[in-house]
Amino acid sequence: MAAMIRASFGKGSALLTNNAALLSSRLQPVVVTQLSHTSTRSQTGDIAYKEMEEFWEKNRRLNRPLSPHLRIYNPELTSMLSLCHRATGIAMAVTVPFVAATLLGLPGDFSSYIEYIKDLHLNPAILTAAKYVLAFPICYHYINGIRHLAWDWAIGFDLKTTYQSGYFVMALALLVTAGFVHLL
Amino acid sequence: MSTPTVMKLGPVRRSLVQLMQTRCAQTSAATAPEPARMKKFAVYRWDPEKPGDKPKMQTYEVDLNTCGPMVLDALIKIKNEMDPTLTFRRSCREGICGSCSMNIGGSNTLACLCKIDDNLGKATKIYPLPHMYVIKDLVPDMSNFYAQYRSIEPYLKKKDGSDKNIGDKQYLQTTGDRAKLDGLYECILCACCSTSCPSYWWNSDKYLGPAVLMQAYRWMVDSRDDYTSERLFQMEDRFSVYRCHTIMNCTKTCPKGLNPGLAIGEIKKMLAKYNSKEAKQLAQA
Repeated sequence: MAAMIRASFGKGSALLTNNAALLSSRLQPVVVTQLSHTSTRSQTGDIAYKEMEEFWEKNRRLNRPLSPHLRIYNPELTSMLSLCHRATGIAMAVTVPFVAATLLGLPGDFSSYIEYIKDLHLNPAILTAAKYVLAFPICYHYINGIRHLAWDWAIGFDLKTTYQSGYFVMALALLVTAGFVHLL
Repeated sequence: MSTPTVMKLGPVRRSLVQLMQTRCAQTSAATAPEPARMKKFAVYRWDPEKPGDKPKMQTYEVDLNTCGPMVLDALIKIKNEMDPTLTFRRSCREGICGSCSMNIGGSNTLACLCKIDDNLGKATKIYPLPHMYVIKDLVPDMSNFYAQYRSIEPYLKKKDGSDKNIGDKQYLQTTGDRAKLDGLYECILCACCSTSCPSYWWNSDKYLGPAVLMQAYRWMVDSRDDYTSERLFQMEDRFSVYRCHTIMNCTKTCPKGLNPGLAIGEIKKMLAKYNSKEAKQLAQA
């Protein structure tokens, strides 16, 4: 961090302010100088950012409680599908490289591990369940990803379409997953 | 008066007497007592004046037969008749001022527009707006929200002409351009949408939130405003707009039926398309 500040010294004061403010923003969750392109901010903006600083300082000093959020808010289709998208994304981002790296390191090739699992003679129900668990993230994340791409073009944002497309995406994802598990 | 006596009267007097008799019969029937319909309300309470007080839920029972249909009616009835210390914001009682926004039954809405759920078996849970510092009971600290609104400069900015020309001429606008403001100007800044957004919960210091962003878009898309590029340039950082992950809780919860999610999507599209180098030069000029 100090090296960054030294390096940026030559680039002008704006960058220095940004880095110094970055430092301070790590210590307290205050927005202020970091983001607001200080050289372009108007008087109104200055007042606004000062008010924001005062808000955080006052509420911390008075030790006010935060109103409950996660435990009381209704799980809506909108937030649950978004959570599913994030969860499947993280699950895949973690397991795929991990499995790939592990397989690289371990002896034998991929088919020998498949043989090993076959030799365990597990209950077919467990195997099917495992296949569902492996197939669902990819199917759901891909299909919901198309919905997200439509949103990037500002298509399908009204509430009715959001709900219809949400139900459709979930149903299609489950269908495609079932297709992968039972037909392939 | 008995019927034979009534029939002997002239037509005008007869109709008057018959009217009075019908009215008396109606009022005597109406005063028959109905069984009380008791509804439970579990309300979030916290008193800053009590040292060491922890936030807790307090349950009140209200007879729905003697109460108006909306949750705000119930809250006012509780405050008037049962517990004067219950604290909440309210003003217009018709869904236009935005004061009584709170979390009712798990969703953010205006108490004056939220009908009481008739199901007497379930208690209605009332919380303040989520993830806000609580001043007392159902009253959150909205200063940060208002400061964020101020930061987007929500007023008309013109480039040509000096201050002495203001008010000389109307700023003309086509009906097509005026239609672009529909669905944006009706926002009453109740903060239901922003406080329903999990992204705003985790980043309320840096992320502006759906309400403020929709108003920023309202000024960007107003044909009379000349500072569109500069307004867009103000959003060019990781947090102001881009903490929106299209969760869409905002549009679901808006008590006025507006669509902040769409406005944010359109801002992102504009940010992708506008000329940022030119805007930066204009802004720093």
